Amino acid sequence: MIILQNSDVPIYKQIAAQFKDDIMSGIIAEGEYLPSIRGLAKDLKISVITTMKAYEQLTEEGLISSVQGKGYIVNPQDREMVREQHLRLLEQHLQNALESAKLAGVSRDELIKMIDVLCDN
Amino acid sequence: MKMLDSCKVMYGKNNFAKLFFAGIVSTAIMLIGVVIRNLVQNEAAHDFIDGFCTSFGGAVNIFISVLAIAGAFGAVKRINPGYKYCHSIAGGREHFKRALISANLMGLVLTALYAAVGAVFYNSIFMTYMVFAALFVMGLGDLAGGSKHQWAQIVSFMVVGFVCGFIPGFLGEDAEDLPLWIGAALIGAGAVFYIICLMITLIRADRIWAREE
Amino acid sequence: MENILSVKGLTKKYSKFTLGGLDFEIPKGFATALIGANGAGKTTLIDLLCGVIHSDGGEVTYFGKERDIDREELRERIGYCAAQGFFPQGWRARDIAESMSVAYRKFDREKFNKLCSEMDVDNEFAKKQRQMYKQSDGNRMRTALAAVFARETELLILDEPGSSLDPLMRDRLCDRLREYLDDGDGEKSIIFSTHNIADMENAADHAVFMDKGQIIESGFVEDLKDKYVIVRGDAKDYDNSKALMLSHSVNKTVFEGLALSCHRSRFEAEGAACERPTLQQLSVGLLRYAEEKR
Repeated sequence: MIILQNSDVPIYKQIAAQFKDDIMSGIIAEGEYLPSIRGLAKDLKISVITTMKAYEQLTEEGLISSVQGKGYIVNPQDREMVREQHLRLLEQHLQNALESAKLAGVSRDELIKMIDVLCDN
Repeated sequence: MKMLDSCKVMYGKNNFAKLFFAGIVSTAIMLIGVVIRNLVQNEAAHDFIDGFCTSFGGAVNIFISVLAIAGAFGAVKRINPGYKYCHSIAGGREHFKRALISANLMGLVLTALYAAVGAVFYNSIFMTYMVFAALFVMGLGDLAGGSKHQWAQIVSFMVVGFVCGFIPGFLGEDAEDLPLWIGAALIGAGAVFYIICLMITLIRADRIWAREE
Repeated sequence: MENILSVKGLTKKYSKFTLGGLDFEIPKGFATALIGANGAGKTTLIDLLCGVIHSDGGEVTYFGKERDIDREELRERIGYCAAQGFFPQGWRARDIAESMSVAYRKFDREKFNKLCSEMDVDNEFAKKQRQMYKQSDGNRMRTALAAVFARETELLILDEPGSSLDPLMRDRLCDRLREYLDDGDGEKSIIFSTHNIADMENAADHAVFMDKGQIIESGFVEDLKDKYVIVRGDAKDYDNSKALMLSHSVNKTVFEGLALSCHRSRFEAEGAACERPTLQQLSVGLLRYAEEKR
């Protein structure tokens, strides 16, 4: 996990985003426990309330739930929903690419060629 | 045992024991002096040892006793840095009272040792005055330590110096000529004064502990 | 959420200064920072909480039920460390070790010695130990911290623990505080005071801001950061924005200030920029606000 202390993104959001990625990609499997809030705060050298807020956000998003006395457990992830989220993200990035292409005057064929090259790499 | 523990809490590791040990050493030095005095038949040597013995054993013991008493108050007085430790520990008030009583007991033991050495081996009349001085000064130390005025303690220390210097100088060679009853009366007066001072201080111990400004 | 301390109407009167009446709560399982300018009453409050001085009124409830700070059992559970010269000035490390081990049932003498060597100050076996008054403020604080961390406690109350330490040692202190919380797993709590929160920003979960013997704001740090924004703008827009700001400063080029987040969109409409405050910025803004309001 990488946390930047002086980033524009609040630390709790950085933590939440990284756990989200790990959960979505299956690095942290369902049924696993996340590190304890105080233990994680100690390791990351940040305040307890910050990790707590990150976990609260993940809980609100339905990714994890709190188990009384045991910590936070990763919920079973809906595969279809995960895929849909990734697709939405993909679409958003492509949209951005199209806009940049328009600004730079890159044609449709050239754009497709670029994607081909990138895929081959 | 509880007394010793409280002394460790309030004075630190060996500081109380060191004071007591210093008192014993000074008494022992005096005893050696007295033994030499009895062996040597020389007027000048006698005079020298007389002076020597009043300070070692006498004045030094008195000073140590007053120092111990002042130490107990010093640990809890709020003008001294370090008072917060003593006031924050569990049962601090009881430790303070026990340390205060221990300091007084130490003073009494040292005075009794001094008096015993003097009465058995040496000039008992001369000792009488020093015992009076010890009681008087320790009483004053208790009273001054419990006072909220800082100058009281300074004055009490000045009196210690004065009394210890004054008595040997004043008595000089005439000491032996003074009648015994005056000595007895002096010790009685000293004891009464000391007991009154000690009682006042112990009764006020809770207030002294709790005083904040 | 459980509270480790709850304070009601706590008052202490001095001839030139009055603290309170204070009403506040300290959550259990977190580190609470007591933030305020010099003379705000932080030390007075801490001394009251630890029983070094006694209040003129009000009540403090510890651990949800204990009310008498003079009870030995309660003092056993609280670790306290004063700002400067906590121990008698003539003492050396061995005096502290001996005194503490008699005074407290749960004082781990070995741990004290270990912590002292870790923090590079005399322990009780050191040769030629120096008396407290001969040591620097920083070394005195290290010794005092070693002593308090060597005890088994449930609540730490530390007065300006970071102020006299060098940056490296302060960083280690923050680590140790987080370790203490982790160790307690929600059962141990910390209260520390500071007038320079930038140094200990990442060790504070909850903050209580004080000014002139009063509490001006308190809450969880993340909530407070959401509640307020820092506003920055061009000096020419200052007049339009200043009415909505709690505190502000301006020069001929730019202005900056602290405001409630609910007004964010209005500042942005005026052309100003808003950012989430750090605890340090929040402290400056709130203390300045309190100063202007006096």
